[in-house]
Amino acid sequence: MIWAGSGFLLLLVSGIPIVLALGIAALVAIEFTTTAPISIVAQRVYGGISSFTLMAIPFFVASGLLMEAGGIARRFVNLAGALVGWITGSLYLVSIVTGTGLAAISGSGSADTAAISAVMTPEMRKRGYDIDLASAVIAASGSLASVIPPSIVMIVIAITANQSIGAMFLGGIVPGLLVMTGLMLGCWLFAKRGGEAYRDREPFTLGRLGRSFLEAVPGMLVPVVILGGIVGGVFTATEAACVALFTTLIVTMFIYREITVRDLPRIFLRAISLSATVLIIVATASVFTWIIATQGFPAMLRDWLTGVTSNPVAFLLIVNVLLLVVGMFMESISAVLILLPILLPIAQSYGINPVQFGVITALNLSIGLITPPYGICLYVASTVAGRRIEQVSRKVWLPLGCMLVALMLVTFVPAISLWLPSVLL
Amino acid sequence: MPDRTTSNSDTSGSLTASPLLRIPGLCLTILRRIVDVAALLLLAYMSCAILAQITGRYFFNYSIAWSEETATFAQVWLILLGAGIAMRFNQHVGVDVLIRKAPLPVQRLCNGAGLLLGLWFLGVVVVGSLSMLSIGFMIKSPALQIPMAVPYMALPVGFGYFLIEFAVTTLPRVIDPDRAAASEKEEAKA
Repeated sequence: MIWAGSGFLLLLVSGIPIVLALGIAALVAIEFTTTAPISIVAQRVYGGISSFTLMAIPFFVASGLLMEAGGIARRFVNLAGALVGWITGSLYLVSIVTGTGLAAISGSGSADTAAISAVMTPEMRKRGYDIDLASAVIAASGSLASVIPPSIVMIVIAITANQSIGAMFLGGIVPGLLVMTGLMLGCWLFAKRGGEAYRDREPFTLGRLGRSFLEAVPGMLVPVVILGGIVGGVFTATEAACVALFTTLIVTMFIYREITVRDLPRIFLRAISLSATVLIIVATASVFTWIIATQGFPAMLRDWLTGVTSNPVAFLLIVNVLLLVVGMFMESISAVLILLPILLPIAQSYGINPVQFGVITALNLSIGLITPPYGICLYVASTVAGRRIEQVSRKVWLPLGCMLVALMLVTFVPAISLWLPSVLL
Repeated sequence: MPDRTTSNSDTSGSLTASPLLRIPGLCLTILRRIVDVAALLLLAYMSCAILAQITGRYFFNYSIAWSEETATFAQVWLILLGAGIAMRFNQHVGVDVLIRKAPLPVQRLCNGAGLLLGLWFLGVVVVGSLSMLSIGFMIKSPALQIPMAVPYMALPVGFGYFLIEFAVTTLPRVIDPDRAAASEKEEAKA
């Protein structure tokens, strides 16, 4: 255990890919503390990825990338502009609404963040908005992709926690909308007290709303297919993801006509390598979690946690702090795979619902996407906007504060995550 | 480098520049092309198999047994080949904020140690999977009775390819971290 843990932490900061750090640490632990044959590594790796449920991930990634290449971000920006463009601080609000919309068609946040930032930043700069704050807000709305379905992190959580993907997906919707509302409220208050730049807005017209809505409708087919299919019991999650991919293909090639057959290999190759980075972590993390489980680490942590507190509220607070800190330094998927099998049984012994606990985990890790030093969405947003990450980090307190408030609500009001699954499933 | 036309074949940067290494460089380019095409075909197969499963169930009232199994096998191949592709494009996540700020000798030392350890892990998986492979010729898959060696084969092939891409990406960082970082940045822009 000491071998695996310390070795992993050392490797983590040495800049080596996380997938190899996990594998090496596990291998060291196996070599020095067990007599297990070395071929166990290959077997665990195979067992980790030969899962039909995981296949939803490459399909969702491909469909999300295709939509983004098909110009969906611009259409969602137009629709969001028609919806909230008349309010003070309009461009912040438009970014947040667009981020929420893109989260509903893609599974991970960094591509969403890049798309919103590329469309919104030039306009914000022209109108004299605070670009650092804007980048932080865009990063936060992009990070919503791991809370709002279809979310890759949620799929991995559902598999690890042995819950239905449908329940996890539905559980994330209200918390996601809560974060969106919180971010909008925070930005609106900021813009109200801010300078003249934020007063500049466009009048609300029904005609514009109707036009932009019609333009965006084909893009909204995807969340309808996914949620309707899974909730209605028509498809499994993997099948829904596959149908979503074909729907996207039809929408982008024949309705929006922004993608031709010649673009497809490039987009799909990118989808393959992006989903492989996630799934290969699933494969090697299964070796790592197996070795730390055989060393009795989960039991140790459980004893320590239950010794420190017998109070569910205190337990949830400790878990939130733990996940926030881990999320700051670690990539979400490996954090889920390592920590959730340890934390979930303890949570259940306190009577906390696994779906709610999964949503808390996802929300914590999505906050990790915007916290320095390793906040991938923050990094992407600042790069696209041409600002240094240190500059943007200084303005991150506003979206961060909003997300933390939402996190506290989700943690202590179970109905926020459990109401929708209980009504629909 | 003015003649950088394809970002695809040139990740090795300083390695391909030397004439002695031109032949391995060419082999690498061909290998990458094969891997890319194979990966695209696998994804296409997976999506068509699942689509067939759905249409079979709803429109012809016929449940296809092989689609799920073969698609899962295809997925194993896709992920393992994809891991190498991602290594080529430098997409595997790692925390390199700290190490980039370290003095040059420390960077080289860390990258060198990382390279050796990474090769060790990938090598162990390749070797370990060979014994799995020999058993795989005897076991048959549940639905289609294909030898399990078909999906197991993805382990030595995929991790072998991963190993090659890992070595090609990491070696320049050991030799000259600054130059490697600069050429990676240039590639990221493209």
